[in-house]
Amino acid sequence: MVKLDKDEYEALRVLSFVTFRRRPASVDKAAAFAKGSPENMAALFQRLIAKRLARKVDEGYLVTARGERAIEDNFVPDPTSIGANRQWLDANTAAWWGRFVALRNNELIAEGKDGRELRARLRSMEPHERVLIVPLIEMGSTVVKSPEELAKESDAIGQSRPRPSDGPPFASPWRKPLRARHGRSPSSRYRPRFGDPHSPSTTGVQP
Amino acid sequence: MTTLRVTFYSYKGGVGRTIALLNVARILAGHGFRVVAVDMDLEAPGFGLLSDKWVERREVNRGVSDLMLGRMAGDERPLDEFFARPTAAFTAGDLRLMTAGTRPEVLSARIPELLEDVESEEARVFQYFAAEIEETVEPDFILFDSRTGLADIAGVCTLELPDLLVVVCGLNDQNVKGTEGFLERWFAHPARYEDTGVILCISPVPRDVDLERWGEPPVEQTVKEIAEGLLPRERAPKSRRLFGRYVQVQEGLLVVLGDKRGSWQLRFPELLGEDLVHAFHYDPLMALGEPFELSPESLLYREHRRLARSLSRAHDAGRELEADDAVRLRFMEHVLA
Repeated sequence: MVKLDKDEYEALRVLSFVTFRRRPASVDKAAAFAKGSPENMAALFQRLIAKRLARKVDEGYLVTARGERAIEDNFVPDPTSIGANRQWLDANTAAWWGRFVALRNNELIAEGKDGRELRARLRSMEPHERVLIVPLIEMGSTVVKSPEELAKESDAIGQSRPRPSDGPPFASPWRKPLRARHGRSPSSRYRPRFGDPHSPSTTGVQP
Repeated sequence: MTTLRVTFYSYKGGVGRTIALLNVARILAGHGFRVVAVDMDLEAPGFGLLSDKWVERREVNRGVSDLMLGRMAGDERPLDEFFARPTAAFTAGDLRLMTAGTRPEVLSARIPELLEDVESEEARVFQYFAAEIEETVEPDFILFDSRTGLADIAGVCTLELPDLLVVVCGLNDQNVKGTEGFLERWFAHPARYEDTGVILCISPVPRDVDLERWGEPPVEQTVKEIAEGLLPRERAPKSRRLFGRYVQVQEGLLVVLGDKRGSWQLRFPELLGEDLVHAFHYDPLMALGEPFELSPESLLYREHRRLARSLSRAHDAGRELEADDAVRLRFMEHVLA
C-alpha cells in the first residue's frame, strides 16, 4: 500500500473527482476546491501517478502525452480485483477526457488528445459497451489549460455546430432532423398537452 | 446518453421547486458536471429576477422566449447570447442559466398554435430547442423549471422534454390531491415517453422544532410508538399532523407511483428507494429570499445535495461516480499500490 502524506491525501481526495468526473478544464476547479494552484494540483497528481509507476519505469518512459506505451500490462488495473468496477466508465464519460488511452479487454481501441477523437470513435460503439479509460499525464509538464485556452475551446464548440442552410419549410436554423435521442423521435404523434390529447380542440382540463 | 434532461415540476407554486432546482444545479456544477438550468415557467418567470449577487447583469436579458421566437424567425445569433452567467458567489462550476427572456408571454400565447398540427415542424420547436442546447453546450444535465398546473407549457415540460421528472409536492390537500391528479393524468398520457423516470420531493416539511411547538413528537417517534403498540395506528394520523400527511402522501402519491412502475425503472436501475422520494425541510432563509446562502451544513442544503446525488446516479456517468470519498480513496489507493 502506498503511504500518502497529508497533501497527497487531500489532492487524491479532490483529484479522484477530477479523474472520475471531470473534463480536463476542471483541474482548475479542483485546485479552487483544494485552495491550491492548478500547477500544484497537477504536480501532486503527477506525484501520485509517479508513485504508481515508480516500481516499473523511470520517469518519462511510460507516460507520455500520446501514451503509446501506457497499455503496458502493469498499468492496467485488474477490473475484477477492485470490487465495484468503478474504473470501467461508460463510453460517454470517456469523451470527457483530455488525454487518455481507451482500452477494451486490454486492447487499445482509441487514444486522443482532446476527447473529440475518442468521442467520434465511441459513437460507433454500442451504448452500454464499456471501456477502460486511462488518464495520461505528461511528465514534467502540466495538464492544466489556461483560462484563455479554455475560453477559446468553449467558443469553438458553439461555432462548430453545423448550421444547416437548406430544408423547408421552417425558416430557422432548426430545420434538419435531430439526432435520435436513445430511440426517441422528436416528433410525437400526440400533443404534449393535458386533457384529451386526441382531440384537436384540446386546451387543457382542470382536474 | 450524454445529457440527462430533468424537469422540476410542482402542481402548485411556492413549494421551493425553483430553489431546489437552482441549488441542485450549482451542487452538480460544483461536482464537475456541466449544467444548464432553463426557466420554462413562462407565466411566472423567476430566474430573471435573481439578484446581481447571483447572476451577472446583462444589457439585454435574453432567454428562452427570445431564443425560440428568434430561431423560428431565422435568428442565428450564437446560443451563448441567450445564457445568463452565474456569479462566482453562486457557483465556481460550469453552470449556465437561461431565463424566460424578454417575451415569455408572447411565446406562451403561441404554444397552442405551435402544437396544433403534431406532424408539423412547428410542433417540434421544443425538441429543437433542447437539442440545440445539447449539441452546442454538451451539458451533462439540462434542468427545466416547469410551469405549475396543467398549462400547455407544463405539458411540454413534463411530457415532451424530460428523461426524468422531479415532482415537488407540498403537504397540504391542494398539493397532495392536485399532484395525485397530475400524476394519474401524466402516466396515462399517450404523449409521455414510457421510460421517463419520476422522483418525488415532499416540500416543505416542518422541522422537528416546529412540531415541538405544537406538542407533536418527531415522525420517527410516532412510528416507534405505533410499532410498540403505544399509539393505535388508526388514531395516529389525527393526533399527529405531520405523520397524517405522510400517510396521505403514501396512500395517494406513492401508491400511484408504485403502481405505475414500468420501463423507466429499467432505464434507471441505479435509482434506489432513497432516490425516488426526497423530503425538503422548511428553512427560514427561504422565506427571507436568500436561499442561496444556506449553510452547507443546513438540513435543507444537505437534502438538496441528496437530490443532486440521485440525479447524478441517474446519469450514465454518475452511475460510476457516486461512490463516496472513502470508496474512491480505497480505489485510488488500490490503483496506486
